[in-house]
Amino acid sequence: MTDDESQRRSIFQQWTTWAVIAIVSWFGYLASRAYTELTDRTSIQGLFRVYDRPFQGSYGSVVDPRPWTTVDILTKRFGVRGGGPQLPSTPKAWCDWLSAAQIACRVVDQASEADNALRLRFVPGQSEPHLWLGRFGLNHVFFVPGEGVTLSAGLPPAATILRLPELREAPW
Amino acid sequence: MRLEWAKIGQTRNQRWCLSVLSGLLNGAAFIDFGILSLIANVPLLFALYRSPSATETAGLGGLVGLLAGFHIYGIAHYGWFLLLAFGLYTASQMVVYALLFRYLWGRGQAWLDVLLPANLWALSEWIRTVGPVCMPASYVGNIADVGVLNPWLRLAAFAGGLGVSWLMALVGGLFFHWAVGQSQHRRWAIRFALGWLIVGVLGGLNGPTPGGQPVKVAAVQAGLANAMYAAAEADSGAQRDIVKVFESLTKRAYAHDVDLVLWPETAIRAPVLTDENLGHRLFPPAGSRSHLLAGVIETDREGRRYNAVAVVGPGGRRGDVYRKTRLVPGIESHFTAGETIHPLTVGQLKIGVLICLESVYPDAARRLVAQGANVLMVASNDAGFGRSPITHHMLNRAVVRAVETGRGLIRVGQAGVTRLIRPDGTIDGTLELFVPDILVDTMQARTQLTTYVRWGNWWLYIVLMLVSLSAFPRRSPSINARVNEM
Repeated sequence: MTDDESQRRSIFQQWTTWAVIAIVSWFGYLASRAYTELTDRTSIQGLFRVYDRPFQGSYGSVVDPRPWTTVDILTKRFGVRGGGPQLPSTPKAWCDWLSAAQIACRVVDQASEADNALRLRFVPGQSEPHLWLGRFGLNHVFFVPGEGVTLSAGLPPAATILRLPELREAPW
Repeated sequence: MRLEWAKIGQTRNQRWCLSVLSGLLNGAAFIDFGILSLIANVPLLFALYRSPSATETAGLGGLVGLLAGFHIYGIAHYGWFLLLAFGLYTASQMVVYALLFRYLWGRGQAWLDVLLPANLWALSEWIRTVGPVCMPASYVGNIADVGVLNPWLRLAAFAGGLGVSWLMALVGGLFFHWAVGQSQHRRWAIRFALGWLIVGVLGGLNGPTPGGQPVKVAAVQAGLANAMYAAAEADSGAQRDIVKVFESLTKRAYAHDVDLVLWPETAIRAPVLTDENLGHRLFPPAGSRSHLLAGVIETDREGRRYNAVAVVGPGGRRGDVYRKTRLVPGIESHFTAGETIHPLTVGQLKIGVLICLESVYPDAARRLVAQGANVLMVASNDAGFGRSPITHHMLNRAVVRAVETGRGLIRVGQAGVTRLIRPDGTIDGTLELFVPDILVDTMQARTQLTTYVRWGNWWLYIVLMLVSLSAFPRRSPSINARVNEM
C-alpha cells in the first residue's frame, strides 16, 4: 500500500468515525424526542380551566381528570348551593344538604340497570361519595373525588346509594 | 491531503454508513432543518454510485426510506403499525429510486445524468400524492418555512410544489456530479447550478401582484387536546365545556366585526346546525355582518354523517355546505365522503375550503381556485399529532397550497397551529399549538390564476420525459463498467 493510499484510507476512517458518531447521536436524540412527545403528559391551560391528560385511575380510566371534590362537582356543574353537607360525611348529611337545596334524594338499596337517574354512591373507605353520571356504551361514567370523570365496565360496591332523580343536566 | 470525493463509498461499510447518513439527513430535514433537503440524498448517491450489485443498491435505497420514514413518528399516535407501514412505504419508494438510478445513470447523455436524481425524487414525491393517503413528506414542505429559500418556493406558482421539490433535489444531484463526475458531468453541473440561481432570482422578483378586495377574518382556535373530545362523547359536562370555549371565542370574534369567522374541523361534535339553543349561542347574531364557516358534523336525512364546513349567516341563516371528500382511511370510516369539491359562496366571495388531509393533496386547492375561489381556508384538527413534527409539516403544506394557487390562505387548527399565509408563502399571524385564542387579520380576495392553476402538474410530464430520455442507451451498458471508467 502506498503512502497516498494509506493516507487516504486514514482520512476516510476519520470521516467514517465522525459520521458514525453523528448518526448515533442523532438517533439517540430522535428516540428521546419521540418518546417525550409521544408520551406527553403536559397539562393544557384552557380558556376556563386546566386540562390534565387522561390516566388510569383507582376505579377505571379517568377520561376527564378534575381534582375536585364531590361537593365541587355538584356545586359547579349542577348549581347545588349551600356549601356542602355537615360533617361527618354520612349519607344522611348529604341528603340533608341536597334537600335543603331543593334537590330530592332517596336512599336505595340497589340501582337497576335501566335506572338513568344520577346517584351518589358511598364506597367504603372513601371520605366522599362517587357521583354516578350515566352510561357510555357498556361502561359506567362516574365522578371519583380527587381524580375526575371515570369510565369503567364495573362499579365498586357501594354501602349506600342516594338516588337524585331531579338532578338533570343539559347535553351541551 | 484533501478528501477525494470520487473514492467515497468504495468499501461496503462506507456505503451502508452513507445510506444511514442520508436517511438521517432526510429525516432531519423533515423534522427540524428543512434546508438539509438540498443535500440529503448526496450520501446516498455516493453509495449507489459505488454499489456493486442490484441487491445492495435496493438495500441502500430502502434503508434511507425506512430511516427517513421513522422520523414521521407522530403518526404513532394513531398506532405503531402505522409508523411501521409508513416506514416500509417510504422504503419501497426509495428502493425504486435507487434501482432506477442504477439502471438509468450513465445510459443517456451527461446532462440527463445530472438531472436524474432530481427527476427520480420528483417521481417518488408524486407517487406519494397518489392513492387514498397522501403522505405529507416532501422537500417543498420541508423548505416552505426556510426564509432564504422563499424565492424558489415562489416558483410553486409556476411549476407547483412538485417543481419546487425537483429544484431542491437538483442541488444534491449537482453537487454529486460536480464531485465525482467526468468533465462533461461537471460542466453540466455548473451550468445547471447557474440556472438554479437564476430561477431563484426570477422567483424572488416574480411574486404575486398586490391588490384584491380585503376580507377581514377571525379564526377560532380552541386549543383542546383530542382527549377532551373523547371525554365529551361519554360525559355531557365535557361536551358543555367545549361548547362554552367555542361560544366565548366565537362571540369575541363577532365583536371584531369581521366578514368571516372560521371554525376548525369538527369543532363541536353536537348537532350545531339543527339545535336551536346551540344556534342561538353560537351563530352570528341578526344584524351582524359576519358569516360563520363552521366545522361541524353534519347528519343528513338518511342518517349519513359528514365531516363538513357549513356557512351560517347573520341570525342563523343557513348557507352552502362543503363536505370533506377525502377521508382519512380507517380513522374517519364513520363519516361518508362528500361528492364534490366546490368553493363556498358568501356574497361575492368564494372560499375554497380544504379539510385537514385534503390540504396535503395539490390538486384539491387547484380545483377550488380554478372554480373561482378567491381565498383558501384549511380547517384542521392536528391535536392527534401532538407536538410532533407532522403538525409543523402539515402547516408547511398549507404554505405550498397558498403559493401554488396565488391565494391568501388561513389555516384554522382546532388545537393549532392557526396561521394566515400570504400568496407568496410569507406568514402574517400565528396562534401556537394548544393555545385558546382568536386570530384576527385581513386577507386579499384575489382572482388572478397562476400558471400552476391553469396547467396543473405539467412539470411531472417534463420529469417523465426526461426519465424516459435517460433510458435511451448512449454509452456503456452497466453502472459498474461506467464507474470503473472514471
